[in-house]
Amino acid sequence: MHHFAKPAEPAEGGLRGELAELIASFRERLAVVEIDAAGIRVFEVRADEVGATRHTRRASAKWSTLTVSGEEVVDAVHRIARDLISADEADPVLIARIADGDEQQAALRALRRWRPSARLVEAPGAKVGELLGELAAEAPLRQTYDLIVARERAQDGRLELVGRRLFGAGARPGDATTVAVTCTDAGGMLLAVSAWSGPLQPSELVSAHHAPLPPGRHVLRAVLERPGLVRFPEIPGLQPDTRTWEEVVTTLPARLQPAPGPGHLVCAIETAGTREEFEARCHWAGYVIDVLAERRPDPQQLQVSVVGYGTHVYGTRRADRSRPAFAVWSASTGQARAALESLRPTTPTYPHAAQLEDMLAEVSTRLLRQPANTRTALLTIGARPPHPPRSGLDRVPACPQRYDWLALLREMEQRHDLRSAVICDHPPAAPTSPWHRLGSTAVFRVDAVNAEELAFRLGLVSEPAKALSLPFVSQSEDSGGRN
Amino acid sequence: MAETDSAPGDPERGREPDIAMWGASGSGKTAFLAALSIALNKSRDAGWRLIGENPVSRTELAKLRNTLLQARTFPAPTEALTYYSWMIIGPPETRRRWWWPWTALPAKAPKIKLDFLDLRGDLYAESESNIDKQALITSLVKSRGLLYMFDPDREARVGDAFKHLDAALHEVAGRMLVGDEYEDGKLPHYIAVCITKYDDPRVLRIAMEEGFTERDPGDELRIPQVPPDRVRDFFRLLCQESYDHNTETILDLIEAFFHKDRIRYFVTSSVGLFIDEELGRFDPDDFLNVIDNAGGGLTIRGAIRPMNVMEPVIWLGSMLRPGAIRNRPWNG
Ligand SMILES: Nc1nc2c(ncn2[C@@H]2O[C@H](COP(=O)(O)OP(=O)(O)O)[C@@H](O)[C@H]2O)c(=O)[nH]1
Ligand SMILES: [Mg+2]
Repeated sequence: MHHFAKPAEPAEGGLRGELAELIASFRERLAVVEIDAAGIRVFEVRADEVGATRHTRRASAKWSTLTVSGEEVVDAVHRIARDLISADEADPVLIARIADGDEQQAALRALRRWRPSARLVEAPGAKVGELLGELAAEAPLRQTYDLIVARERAQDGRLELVGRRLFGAGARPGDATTVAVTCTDAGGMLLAVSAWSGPLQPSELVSAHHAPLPPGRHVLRAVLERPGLVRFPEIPGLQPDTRTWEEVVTTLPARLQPAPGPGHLVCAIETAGTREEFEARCHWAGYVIDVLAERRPDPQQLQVSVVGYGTHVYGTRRADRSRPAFAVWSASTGQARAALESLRPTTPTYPHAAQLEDMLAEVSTRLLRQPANTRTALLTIGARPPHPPRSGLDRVPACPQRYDWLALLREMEQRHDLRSAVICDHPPAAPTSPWHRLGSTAVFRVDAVNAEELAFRLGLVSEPAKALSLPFVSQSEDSGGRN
Repeated sequence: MAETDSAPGDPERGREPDIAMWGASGSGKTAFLAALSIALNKSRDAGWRLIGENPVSRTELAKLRNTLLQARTFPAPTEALTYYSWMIIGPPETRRRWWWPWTALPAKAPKIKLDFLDLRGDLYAESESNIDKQALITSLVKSRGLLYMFDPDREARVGDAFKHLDAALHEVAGRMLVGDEYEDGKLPHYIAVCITKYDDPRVLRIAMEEGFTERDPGDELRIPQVPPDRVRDFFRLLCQESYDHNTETILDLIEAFFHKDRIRYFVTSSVGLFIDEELGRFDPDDFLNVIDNAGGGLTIRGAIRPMNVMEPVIWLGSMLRPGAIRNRPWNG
């Protein structure tokens, strides 16, 4: 695109080089004065907050207009210089002389009088305004550009925002770099580029775009288009994010939900009841399993067990020896789904309690063989509370095996840090109902279940609401960032 | 047992009932009758049998027994007045004269006539008199032995025993005590006060926790029993647990209307406690014998072992027919 300027190069002479050097090195502002056959133009070049160079034409006058009031050219130009050109020696001044003659000589004298250090470049045929625009786009980066990422603070794990270096000062348009970050939210992440004028200076946002990327680790390629414009050419569907930075920051969680480690969900379903009752219970078991399958696709990380249990039989000569049916133990979500289908409703043989305590006993035994540090969760879905270990005033007969549901539950809570939630056919009436204790993590009614919430409370998935919308870098990955 | 000269065992009373029964509705009267026939048939050594006096009563008796033993549930609540005309027949006894012991008189079986009017127990509290009520009062007036059923669980929940008893006693007293026949102002009956449903946890737990129970060393099943001399205190305690304050005074009410030495207290259960057959003895953690079933009714879980069901009847019999009962002092 600069191709058409090339033939003019001899005419521009040393101007292009001189100007490029000054644009790269000026601090506050740079004044460029163009003197040609017709008149004089004064340009001012500044860098904006994000280091992009911008030039403005401050004055433009024909020789004839300058002298129309009888003023000498030298005085008129001196007045313009005084008004528009900084007196500060730190702000460089460059004079491009395109043509020569009396007026031009007078103007030069006037400019030199105001700023004796002003440099003169002979540039016959050059067009300074156009050249400035070209050179600004080609200028090296005056500041550092960082991608804003979130990192866990070493001492307490709270999230803090830091910059991952994309381009350092001096980087040139066309430069490319890569940065590795993790997307933690299924909704994608916000790519915010900030400029740093110095190590302690506050940052300005260069750009903010929403990148619809899936959760996981991504290596992003960034290209410096020109100062003030960074592109991520390999991410399709980037959309500008128009929120203010304050708005973005308020949506950020204080800390990241720890990526859930290995988990084990035990779904215990009471089979006793009508087909409709039974199917409603299985429906929710299946739904929760589906949520987990979606949110935690790694089969190594999540195991599911499915057990059905019915009611005890009383009134027979021998004590009831029926046992809960383990449809599947420590299986994948897919296997658990299939196992769920294998359960069948059973006819209640006792109305007010079910062999829930036998289920707990068996689960407790099986959990002993489970590796430590597995997040273990029990979801019990049914209508009837467990039998007590000894019959009490409520006239519910004791468990034939004398299992103590509360002792078993406590033991699992202590040994495995078990979380226990329940979905009941009916809301537990009495405040003393075992359902409240069994549902210490959550109690839902079968007609009002929030499966996502349930999975979250059981500790099997991380919180859905407060997702981190910024790229995340772990402590180990983080190098070269600054804050 | 002191024999009194006012024992109403005179033959002239003929076909009049010996024993009448009352208690609030649901207090366990029908179940008691059903259990009585089982209990009498079970105790081989006692040699007593319960028979129906007429075909209708015989059928009823068989029905009651079957409900408990076969259907393993309780007879349906009595909805209308039902007459049971039964007779308890004891083992034939060879009677000897104490002054001429080497010749025996012809064997004679003792017979106690039971007329049970099983009806809704709340009749007493109704102000207007009706046929059922009059029939019952008449039966109470004519009889000389009373089985009074007290249901501690109902008392703890409803607490209407006092009201019923008070009303009934005043009716009976009004009919019997106006004349000069009973000069001491007390009713002439023997009364067996039966605490029912001992097997229920709300009764048995109180008995055990309050220290009223003992074990018979000879009992393999180690069933906790309330010894006879403590039953009256246990009854008083249960009355105090009642929903209604008046119930506390039931014992006083009974003792005001009857001769103290004609009152006896019994702790009864028509079905008995559950005993796990594999364990073979009473288990304080698992004695529930009546449980709700899936059909919305009740099921008797284990073997039926009526407790103190025939004892009050035989006691009444022995009081009413002093000569006919075995356990006379000289018979051992
Ligand atoms: N646990 C227990 N419940 C009994 C017993 N006897 C009666 N019941 C209960 O009390 C209810 C009413 O008994 P029932 O004999 O019909 O009372 P009635 O109205 O006085 O004739 C029965 O249905 C049983 O539920 C008993 O010995 N033990
Ligand atoms: Mg009845």
